[in-house]
Amino acid sequence: MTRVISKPVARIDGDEKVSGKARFTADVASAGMLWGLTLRSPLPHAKILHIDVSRATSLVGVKAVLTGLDLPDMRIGRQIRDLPILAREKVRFVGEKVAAVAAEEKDVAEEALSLIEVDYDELPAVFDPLSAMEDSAPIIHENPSAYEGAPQLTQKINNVVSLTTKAKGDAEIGLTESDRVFEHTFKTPFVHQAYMEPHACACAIDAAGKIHIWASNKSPFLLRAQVAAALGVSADDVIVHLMPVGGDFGGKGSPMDAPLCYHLAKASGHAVKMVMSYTEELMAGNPRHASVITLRTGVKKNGDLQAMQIKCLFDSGAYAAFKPIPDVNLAAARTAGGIAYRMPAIQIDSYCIYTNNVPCGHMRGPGYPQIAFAIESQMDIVARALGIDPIEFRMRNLVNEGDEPPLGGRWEGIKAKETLSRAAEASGWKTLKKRPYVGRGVAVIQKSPGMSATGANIVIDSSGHVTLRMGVPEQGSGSHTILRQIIAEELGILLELVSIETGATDAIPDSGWGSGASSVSHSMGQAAVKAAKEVRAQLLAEAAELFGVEERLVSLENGDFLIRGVAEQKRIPFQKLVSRLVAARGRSYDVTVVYDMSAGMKGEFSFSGVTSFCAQVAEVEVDAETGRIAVTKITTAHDVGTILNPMTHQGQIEGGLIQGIGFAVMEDLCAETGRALTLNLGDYRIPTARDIPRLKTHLVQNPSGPVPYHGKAIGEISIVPVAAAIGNAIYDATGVRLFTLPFTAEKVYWGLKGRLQPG
Amino acid sequence: MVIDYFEPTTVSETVSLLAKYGDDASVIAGGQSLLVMMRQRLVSPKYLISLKKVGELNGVQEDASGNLSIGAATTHRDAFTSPVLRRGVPLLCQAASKVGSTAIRNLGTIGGNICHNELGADPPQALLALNAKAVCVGATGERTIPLEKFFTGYFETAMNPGEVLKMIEIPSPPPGTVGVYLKHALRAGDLAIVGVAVLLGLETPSKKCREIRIGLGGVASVPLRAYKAEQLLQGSVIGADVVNEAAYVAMSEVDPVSDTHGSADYRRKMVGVFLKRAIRQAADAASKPGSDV
Repeated sequence: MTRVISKPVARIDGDEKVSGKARFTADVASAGMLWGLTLRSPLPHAKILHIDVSRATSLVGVKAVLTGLDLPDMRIGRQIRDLPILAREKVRFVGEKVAAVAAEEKDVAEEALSLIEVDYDELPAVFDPLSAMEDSAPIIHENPSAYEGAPQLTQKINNVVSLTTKAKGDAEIGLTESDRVFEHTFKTPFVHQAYMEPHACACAIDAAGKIHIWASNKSPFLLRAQVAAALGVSADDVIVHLMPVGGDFGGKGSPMDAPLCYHLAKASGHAVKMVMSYTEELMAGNPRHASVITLRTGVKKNGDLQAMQIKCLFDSGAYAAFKPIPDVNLAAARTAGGIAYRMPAIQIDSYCIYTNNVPCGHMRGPGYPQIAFAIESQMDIVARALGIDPIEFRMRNLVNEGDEPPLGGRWEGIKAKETLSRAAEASGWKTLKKRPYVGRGVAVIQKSPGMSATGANIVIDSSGHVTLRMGVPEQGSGSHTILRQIIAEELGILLELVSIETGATDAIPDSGWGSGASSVSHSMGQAAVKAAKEVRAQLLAEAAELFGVEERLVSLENGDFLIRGVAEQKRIPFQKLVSRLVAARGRSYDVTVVYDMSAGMKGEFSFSGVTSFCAQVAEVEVDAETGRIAVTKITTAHDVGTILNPMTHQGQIEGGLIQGIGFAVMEDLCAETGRALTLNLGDYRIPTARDIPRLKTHLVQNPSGPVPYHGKAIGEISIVPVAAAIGNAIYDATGVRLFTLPFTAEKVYWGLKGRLQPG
Repeated sequence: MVIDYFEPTTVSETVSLLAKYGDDASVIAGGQSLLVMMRQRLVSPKYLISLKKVGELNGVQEDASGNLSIGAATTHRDAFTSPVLRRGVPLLCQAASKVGSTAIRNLGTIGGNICHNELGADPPQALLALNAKAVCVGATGERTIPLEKFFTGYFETAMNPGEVLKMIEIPSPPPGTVGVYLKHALRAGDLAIVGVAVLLGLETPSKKCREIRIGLGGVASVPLRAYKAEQLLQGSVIGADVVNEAAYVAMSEVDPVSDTHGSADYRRKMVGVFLKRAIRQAADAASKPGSDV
């Protein structure tokens, strides 16, 4: 029986954030700190002939003006280093940084930007990945495989930067042996993470030459390494100060302006702060990859899936620098977007292709919502073509305990069918009466968390106050609240005695990749458990010694030490005894541990094979005369382990659903011509409170996960099936099948008129 | 960069400030349009003249004959909650209640909305259907511009530099007329893909249409009246055929553009759909005695 785990404990950072007291990166200030701003390219592809900065340089209040030629000829990136800090010989997308200014006032910096003159020679550009692969396409990077960190490709295709192939069995043969083969192509647009806080960073160089960075960044130790690499210095020379992140959703893992901010600080001799405007975010952030996904799927007449070929074309935009994983592809390629069916044969080929669009990065479940939209839409098409109910079709093909996962490997504790059944029952799939233009659609996927080695440090001072010091910034998910619960639980003390401290990278244990891949409650959670167990053992051993009893006679319960085996059993409050123990040992308790998941895959912290399933049923009502879609209800079912905090858990589920609704019905940067047309949050539509339907969550208990206390990941999974479920519901309501996101009223309208919009 | 900010208390003081600073100055009421334009660097006034303290620009007046005047700085919220307007011109109240979000309606003003003349705004087509007039004041005095001559192009109006909008006059609508405003938008709070305002009155007992005015927004460079569709309906008994025909004619009167909210083709189709709906709703309401909707 746990005391604080599984309780809806309020957010540790709630009061500060709601009251506006929380300090974010844009609030970082020091005497003499300058504003840094950038001049961005208005053209998608052009040679830079000449840049004249003389008028900007002579403006009063301007302390530094930089162009690409002022910087060392180095490129930056999270994996492949293909992005210049400032463009040098040419620009490759609208919004690429061409020059930068640091000035005493923001207005002065803005004026200075307007005084910089750039002569361009426009080059032919390409805006869609299919055309970019053609032999005649404009070449965006002359020799991408020469970039540091570039994946080596066996075949050279124009503008292809990465190709990841995963296969099991022979899909080609599987298709020829199938009774029916279905081929469809699906498209998804660029969408922005739409965090509240735009990217921000500040840089100061101290007297010892150490480079201090403050940044809205979820991976402080990766940032340190990336900045060091970008500047050609040692990681020890870079100190990243952790800041709360005002929303991440996958988008805050890159250095963004930090290396440039350093160069401005160095050139001006002052600390510099850079805060992107939202227009810059929408024009040149690092949005979700647009995609073109073609599926060929073979089935037997009875509905058994036989084979699937998946070809994903991900529009990387002009650079691949924002992709963090070694193959410079999207993680979803390795799991086919979380496909959860028994598949005798399957192959996925995932291409990342340079275009003259905005460079893309990570967003909640990178690649998953795109591929899942394609696959789960097509599963509906196949089921209906075979005259099988879409849920029956899925039940027939979903993995069972003991089955091999679709792309090989091993899963344990599979609850795929239980999860789908729960969604079906809860939504009244079989019982609801059908009305005209009202429809329901289903989708089901699986997703497992990522992993990285993570350190934690616990300090208990003489007052008995416990501090967890660690390197994962709070990016809005509530992770700090959960870590506090874990420490209180393990030590058997009150929450109020525990605080969370982040600090700077020179003073806290390495947190690996920080926040990402639904992994914090797992990686940092297990590190916290490990550290707490270790410090608890020290406390109990030293308490036993103090009272001259055997260690097994000492325990920590409900905030007190219990000492047995003495004349009279003693119950001593935690703080009181800790004070004595600290005095006796002459120093605070200070324990640092590392939890390395890849090393700890056996035994207690078994990680291998644990995944989670999510099934959703969406209900829509369509206005047949206008095509307007009202999403009226979404039922989401999850197989979950122990839930550490039901409030933050539910927040993750509903946040993902709402973001998924945005992806399904409204979000689109409209950037197919290289220019995002939606440059403010009035034009770039995300759901508002009035667009959110009834959301019903149902949980299938399955306590078998890698998170402490047998919990499972929840951060990304709920966004993944939404678009397919809604698309399938639209089909159910109207008979119109939409292959391109978002599902706007207009697309449904033309569909109903029998005239699908091109594209 | 804004150099100075003024808070005049009278219209004449406002006009003097405008005369003094010319093109470098801009008046600001709720700021819901101007601040967005400034943020996007589409305009960069050096002097801002706030209308907040100009008492003459506030409030709704009704004369003995039911003619109304609405101060230009009346917020959308004040407009749609005004008992006088709800009784006299409920059509305008419906349109004002559909503007943006609660926050925007609390700050944004009817005057600012029509002066900004953004594609897809809500009040303009309702005011057109109400035969409203804009009363502007400049250095040379006051002049009244019928609303159908007020809107001249995207973000453009017939107001001259140096003029400030003082109020909007609405003649008392013919008794027994019913107003319906319908808006089609992609998302709650968005600009209208199509906004349709209909003011309709029926003869009794013949049920022939004795008064019909149609204002359309979002579907041409300016909000406009669908005169040809009105002509067709005038004197007819409202039935499916004539409504369909009117919708068809109205679709030919508009000249929409394609943007991120919708294609020109779709906008034109939606004019037909929403005009039919608005006419049917208005005719239904007008057939029920004593119901001013």
